[in-house]
Amino acid sequence: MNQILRYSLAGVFYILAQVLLFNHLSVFQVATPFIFLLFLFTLPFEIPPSWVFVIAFFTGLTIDFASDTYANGLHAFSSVMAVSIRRRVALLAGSMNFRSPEDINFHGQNMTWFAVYLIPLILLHHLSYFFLEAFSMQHFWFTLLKVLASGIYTFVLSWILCFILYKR
Amino acid sequence: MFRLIAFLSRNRHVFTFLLLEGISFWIIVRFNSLQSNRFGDLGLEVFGSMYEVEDNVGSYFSLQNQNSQLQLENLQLQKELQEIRQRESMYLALLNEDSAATQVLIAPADTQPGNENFIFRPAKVIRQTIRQNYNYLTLDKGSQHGVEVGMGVISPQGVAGKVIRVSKAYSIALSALNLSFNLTLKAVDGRDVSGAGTIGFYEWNGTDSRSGIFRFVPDVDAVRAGDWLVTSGYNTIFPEGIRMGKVRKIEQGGEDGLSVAVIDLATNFSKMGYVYLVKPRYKQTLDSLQTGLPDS
Repeated sequence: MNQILRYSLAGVFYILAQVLLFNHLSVFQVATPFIFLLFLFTLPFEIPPSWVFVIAFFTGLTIDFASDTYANGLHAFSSVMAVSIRRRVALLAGSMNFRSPEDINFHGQNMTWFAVYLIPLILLHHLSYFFLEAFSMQHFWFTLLKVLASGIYTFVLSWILCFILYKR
Repeated sequence: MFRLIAFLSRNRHVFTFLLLEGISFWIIVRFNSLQSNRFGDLGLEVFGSMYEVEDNVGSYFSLQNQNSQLQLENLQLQKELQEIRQRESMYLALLNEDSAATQVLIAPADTQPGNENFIFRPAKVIRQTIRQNYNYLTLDKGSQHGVEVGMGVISPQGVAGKVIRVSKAYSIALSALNLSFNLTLKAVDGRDVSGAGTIGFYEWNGTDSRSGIFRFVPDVDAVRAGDWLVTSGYNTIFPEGIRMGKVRKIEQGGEDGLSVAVIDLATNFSKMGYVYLVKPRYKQTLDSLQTGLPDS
């Protein structure tokens, strides 16, 4: 119960931070940091995948409706997409040190593990988000530029946050 | 049943995933104009090719009909060509006689907006409805064939519709049998299609695929049964003088003070085959000229 309350509060905090702060930190309309993803990516692995999907869906939807991007459903779709590979990536990043994702505790991981864990997830989310936003391959390279620029921005900020929150 | 439940519960994460992604995707294409437009175009491409196959099969059975229709059109064109040749030879004869007099005769003809100011493209109707309140034509030509939104659709017999949506290889046109289709027409008697006539508005009543309605300001003997209604040339879609239909009867006085005429449509919408798409050659110039005007 205590845990649920803690993560709910964390979720609210991340969403507020995203809507009130990080959405306004975009660079040249090309790179926007999506920090709320870190909340979804650092949910404990004890939570069943179905519930993580549901949490990701509603978090994404909230961000969609609270952002003034006129692109509803994009974050919902992309967030669910990204968390779907969470467990597999977490295992790979641990280089076979863990037998199941439930063994992984975010506290006590080193920064390399966080990097290897976060990059594929952020990349998948951003690919899904920006290509659905464009909904065509017409401006493929510009869309890819947006994916990479935002991806790097999101990753750097998330990594710094991980360092602050989960440092040994 | 038990196996089904077991199957569902074993794969519950996958189903949750698919369900949520489905809902999100639905939200994306339902509530965002950009994505829904692009998705709609995709649908048009897919369904368009399906309709085309369907139509290809169907058209084998109506080849004879199509042929006779094309023959009729050919005949009509031949006749017109003959007339034009005659006129030309007349002009040429005049030219030989007296060059000064011809200048006067030919000059007004040059200034008349003729069909050289319009671009025609052939297309084929591959699907259409005629029994709804809002009927549409699906055509087998799209943006890659030079089709644009706003082009007029003309059947061999007369006005048929107006293009409202274009994808790469297909387009959709508002049929003249559509409650939101309207057009300015003028009434002319006999074959004098280029003369000035009473101006009014065409609309469809939503029931009969063979008749439409013409509303006009009542005037003594302005419009009589048997008069032809043709495009006025006052809009930037159709050339002047394309037939819409023939007045069947006049019904005096609608509630808005306009007279109403019931017309027999020239185009036979139950047998649509090949059509022409038309637009003014200088549409952009025309549009930009007109945008600055007050009350336009």
